[in-house]
Amino acid sequence: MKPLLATAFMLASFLSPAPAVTSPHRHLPASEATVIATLPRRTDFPRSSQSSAESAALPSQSDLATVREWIAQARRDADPRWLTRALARLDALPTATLAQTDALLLRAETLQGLHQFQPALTQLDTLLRQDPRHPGAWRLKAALHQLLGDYDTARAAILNLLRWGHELDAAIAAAALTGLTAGSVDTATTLTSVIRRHPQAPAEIRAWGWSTAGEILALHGDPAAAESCFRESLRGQPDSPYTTGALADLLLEQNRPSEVIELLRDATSEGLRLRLAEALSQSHSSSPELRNLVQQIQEGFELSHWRGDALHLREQARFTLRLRHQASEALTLARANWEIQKEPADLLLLLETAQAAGDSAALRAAEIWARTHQPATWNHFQSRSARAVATRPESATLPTPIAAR
Amino acid sequence: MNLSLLPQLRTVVLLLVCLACPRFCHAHRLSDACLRIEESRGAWTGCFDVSLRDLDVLVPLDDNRDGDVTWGELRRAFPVIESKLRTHLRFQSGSEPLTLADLDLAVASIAGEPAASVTFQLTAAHPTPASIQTVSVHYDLLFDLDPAHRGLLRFASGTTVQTHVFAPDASELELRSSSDVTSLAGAPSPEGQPQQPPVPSTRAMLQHVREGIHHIWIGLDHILFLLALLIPAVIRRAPATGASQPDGFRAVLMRVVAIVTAFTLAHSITLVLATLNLVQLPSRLVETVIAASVAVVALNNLFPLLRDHRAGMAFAFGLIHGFGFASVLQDLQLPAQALVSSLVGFNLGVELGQLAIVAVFLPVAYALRTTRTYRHVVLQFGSCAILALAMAWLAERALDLDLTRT
Repeated sequence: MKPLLATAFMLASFLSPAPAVTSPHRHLPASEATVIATLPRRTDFPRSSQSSAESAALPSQSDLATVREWIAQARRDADPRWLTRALARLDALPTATLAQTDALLLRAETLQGLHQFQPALTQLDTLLRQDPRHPGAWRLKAALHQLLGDYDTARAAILNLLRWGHELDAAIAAAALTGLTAGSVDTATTLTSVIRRHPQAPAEIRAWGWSTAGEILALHGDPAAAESCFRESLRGQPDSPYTTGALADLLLEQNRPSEVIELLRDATSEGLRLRLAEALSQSHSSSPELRNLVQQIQEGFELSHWRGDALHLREQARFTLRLRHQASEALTLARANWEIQKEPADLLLLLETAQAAGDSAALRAAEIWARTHQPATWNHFQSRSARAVATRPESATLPTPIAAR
Repeated sequence: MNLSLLPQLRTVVLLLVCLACPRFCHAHRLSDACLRIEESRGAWTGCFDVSLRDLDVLVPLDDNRDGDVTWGELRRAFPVIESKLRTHLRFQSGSEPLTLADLDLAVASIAGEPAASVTFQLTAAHPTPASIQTVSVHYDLLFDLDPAHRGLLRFASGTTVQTHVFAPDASELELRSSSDVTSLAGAPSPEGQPQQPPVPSTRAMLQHVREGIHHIWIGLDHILFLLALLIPAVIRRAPATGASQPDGFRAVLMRVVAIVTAFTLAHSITLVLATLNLVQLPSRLVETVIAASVAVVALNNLFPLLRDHRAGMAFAFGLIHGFGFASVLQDLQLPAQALVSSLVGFNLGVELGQLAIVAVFLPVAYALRTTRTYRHVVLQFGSCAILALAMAWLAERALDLDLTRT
């Protein structure tokens, strides 16, 4: 061996740092007053609620109220930890309480949020045998079947909502089913007029309606109208990560990264930070901020993979394709995600990754499914690809979908 | 559905307003905490990172409820955090419980989310003459409140690294010092989680030798750099006319040895400096300069300017190639103790790979050096080809393009 290596060996043994057992980002804040985290606003954790006289008298009702609040918190804050905590709380309840319709619905809701769609449906079916008119159960059932690509059963659930007089709910769910699979811009127009006829409906329902209308308009190629619907939805529910994400996606598709950066500047959640990273990358920024962000998101996916959860396959596929430019790995992830959920965003991602990976067999399979079940998504994908070809000549050599041949 | 046929507006009684929008957008991850443990000569140290969002569920952190957690608030909560930690993160050596000592609080982040970070040492109440070889870990923090919580353990001892996922049904694990490698099988990992089998040090070293060989062979830029220097080295050109005159084997060998040694010396220096974090260069700059170095050397073959300074060029550019090699070692994320053997092993691998290339190249080039084919096809055309490829890399790396996709 060369003398240099011996020198290196010696040098290394002298200079080798203290055991690198600590985490890479460990540091001491500058002062006592340094803000190290902003926690979501929430009602207190049950440490205190258990001490109240009311909860002593009606423990299960108080538990259900807590679970309900946590589910709302999970939604507001895009944080699934509230769902796993809620599930643990529900599991600890007596069997008799769990059989109540409220508990069944909360459990279904929690399971849905954790992507356990079939167990969630089982809860809903038990609930609907007890109370065939339950609007919340029909609404969730419609959404779940739509997500799983079972549109006939979803339609039947929506008819039940209508049958029991929940017009706005039925209208939103029906518009989502029609507009996000086939339909046209008119589907959204009809929906917005129904929402306007229900000014007294709860803000959350109206916000859901506006964001659904926005999604339909975005899919059917009316980005300006879609944007105003998303903004209307955010006026009713300003902290909805779902709608914020949808608006960011719309802006990204229109190549308006600076507005996305403005919108998501303070986002703490990974899904929104993924979009922020895409915006930074779209604005050709090679800033340390982008590198840092990409590294943090990557670390998150690695930890999720390590612990073995598949809650973020959609985001990971998107990240792998758009920020790491690893098309075939992204396709593998998009396929795994497609096995779990079948919303337009999932289908678009499957088509996009198959195209980028140059996998014409995968692209064709996705295309056949899309043309049969979600022609609206297919049309959107085609017009987006056409725009991309027009602006980026090199993508002309990517495999051509059947329809274009 | 024709909505105009809907019944007249009816009052919608919503029992559960929170169920309004039946969709979730998951942005945060499920709950996990990171536990790092390192054993060195019988001394056991650790670092535990837990997200403040998770910790807040156990210990209220936001004293004044303004939504912001300050460093002062976290520090004031530390006594409670410490007692929770002592209860839910327990260590034992044989039958003797080990104590968490020298606890030190700081902040860190888990995938960008603010976290509390506590370092500690493990001490025995009755220190035994022999150092601690085996430690069993029990971890059950947060499991009662959130069964989906996981403790992600990374254990480093000598050159071995072991990982484990603590879950409600897998809250125990036995760790062994790598100096006691006879029975390293850890507890079975839950749900088929990745658990790297610990690698004894000689095997780890061989692995790094293989990495090094592999790297030089797949790293076409390093090979072409070396070849571009070596192709003309077997030919001697008369300085005035540019006509070539054959040299004896000894002279050729000395020139080849000089070039290879200079390259090795240079990249070894920077490999050591970069791996020990003494000097850091941005990887894009390194990759760009490596591409440029190949281009410059190929260009010099076609229009010789630095004919007699090939060893000097090998040294100068070798310095930057060393940074390229170092990035591979950094990607492997080695524990500190494994650094030295991996550095030596990896470099040895690079040299072996390089020697194999020279061993094949030299006899063939020496035999052909007087032929027209060698001088025109190999030297001129070969250098042109190398130059073209290097220019493509240069464009790709400098401008961050992906030319393979066009």
